[in-house]
Amino acid sequence: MSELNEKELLNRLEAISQLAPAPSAVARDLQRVRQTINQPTRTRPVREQNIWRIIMKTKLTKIAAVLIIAAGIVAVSSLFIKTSSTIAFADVVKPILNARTAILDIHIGSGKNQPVIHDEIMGSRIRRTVSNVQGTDTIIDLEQMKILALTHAEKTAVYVNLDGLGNLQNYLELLRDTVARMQDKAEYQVENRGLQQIEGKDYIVFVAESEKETITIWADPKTALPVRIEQKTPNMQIACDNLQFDIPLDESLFSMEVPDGYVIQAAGGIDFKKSSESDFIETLRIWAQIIEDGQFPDSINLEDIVKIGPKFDQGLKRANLTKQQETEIALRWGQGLVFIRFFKGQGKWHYAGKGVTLGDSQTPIFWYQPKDSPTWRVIYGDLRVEDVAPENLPQ
Amino acid sequence: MQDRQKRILELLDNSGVRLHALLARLTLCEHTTGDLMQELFIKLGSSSAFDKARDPLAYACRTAINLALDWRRRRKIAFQQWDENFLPVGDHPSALDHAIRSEEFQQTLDAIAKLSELARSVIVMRYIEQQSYDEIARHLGKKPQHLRSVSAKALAQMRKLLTKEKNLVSNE
Repeated sequence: MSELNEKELLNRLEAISQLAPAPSAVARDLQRVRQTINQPTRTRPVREQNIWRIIMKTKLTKIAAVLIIAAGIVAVSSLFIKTSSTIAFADVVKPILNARTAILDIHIGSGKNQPVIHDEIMGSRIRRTVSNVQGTDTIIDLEQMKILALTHAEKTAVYVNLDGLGNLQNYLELLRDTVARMQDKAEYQVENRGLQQIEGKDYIVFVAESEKETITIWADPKTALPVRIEQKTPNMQIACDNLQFDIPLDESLFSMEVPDGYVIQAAGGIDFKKSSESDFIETLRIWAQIIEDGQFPDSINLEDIVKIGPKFDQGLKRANLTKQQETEIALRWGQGLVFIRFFKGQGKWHYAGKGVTLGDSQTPIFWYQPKDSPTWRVIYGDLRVEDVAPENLPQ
Repeated sequence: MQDRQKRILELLDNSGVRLHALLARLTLCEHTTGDLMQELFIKLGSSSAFDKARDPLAYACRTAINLALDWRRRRKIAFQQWDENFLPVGDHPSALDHAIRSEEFQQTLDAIAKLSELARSVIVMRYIEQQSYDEIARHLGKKPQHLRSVSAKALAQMRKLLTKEKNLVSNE
């Protein structure tokens, strides 16, 4: 066996010591660190309005969309994954990271007829339209933690405060954190799956996996530009396509100023800091009683919430409520969603309400493990809750 | 401005480039360097040990070495070329040279990552940071003679690791 001699080893070490990153990369990374260190405490105007009074003046069919607009930011932004496991993969994600502007379509869930979320992104601002919410554009400012929703037919504008969504970051910060989160997993790996065809055209495919999260990117093999990204987690599947980078966008479309002729409407509030089990139980009750006519929904995943607007409207009509009551119910339903959307328990929650009738005291419909708790909380069809040891959990 | 934040900004101003280069050499990857640079300063910003460190730069270097080599140990990809942006100044190797050197560098750094914490700090400071043993001794609070011995043993261990790697490759 020929042993590597010390001189060769020292030569290698010396060669490594001579490597130097590109000055532009150094400047960019130092600037990024400086921004993080200097990040000021965000202050918010006193007159900020909250999300839920939107529904006082706008159609209730928009409730779901508004909620998703607010609660979906993290999920949507986390589509933009980069990792550094191979240089080719790094090439593929480079445009995503360096893009000044981007346009993309987002599909939540795997079923047909899912609404399409169309995003145009400029820095920390996103202009979003949702295919099943006609005539409404939403501008999301991740820096100011604020949404401006514009309803064009009625010429109304509503500011929505995202206060409480403390972990929202600007676009690029979020990308980097997502990468770090994936890379921190021991199981993290990237695989080049070679060429695959989409509509007769070849694309190079990379799959990055860590624990239960999988990111798949299809990219043009010549330009390395990504054209499609899919993200799968146990509770969610999101696909992103029609990607375009660094195309000229009209800056005025991202303005947080209300356009001329639009009337600002008052908004109300959902407290994104409040994430309680009792609020969630109330959401389940409303969901079964009002929206699903006595049954628990088949699923409470994001992809189903996106589509709920029309069904919610029908349910409210059936219930024959006053506008004020409708508003209160929508508000309570939305407040409870914070519990699952920003879940703070251990591991993941489990939902098994499909086919279960409200009032069924025998069937568990939801269970989760609170943080640092040895036991699980199990919610049954009659909406009572019990503490259950792990070995006695529903199968 | 809080004292810690002030200290961190001073460190960034005075030694940010050096810490960045250190991370770059240990990861050979532009993206990871940026991520780890961010992580390093976030870590320092929440570290009371950093407040107490007599030599903030030495503390930051040790933290950077640990971050980069931990990242290296966690990686599952066996082979990775270094980024084009990390070429030695004035060196323009052919694609084949580049690939071969890449593999050698990655293996060498992976071998460093397998050393004990003290040994890897010494190897990195001595041969990648090119510090003298006296400087390293000051940073680590050890005697230079002891560090020479640690270094010699670490190099021997690396040679064994790399020889094993080399033979594995040649037998394939």
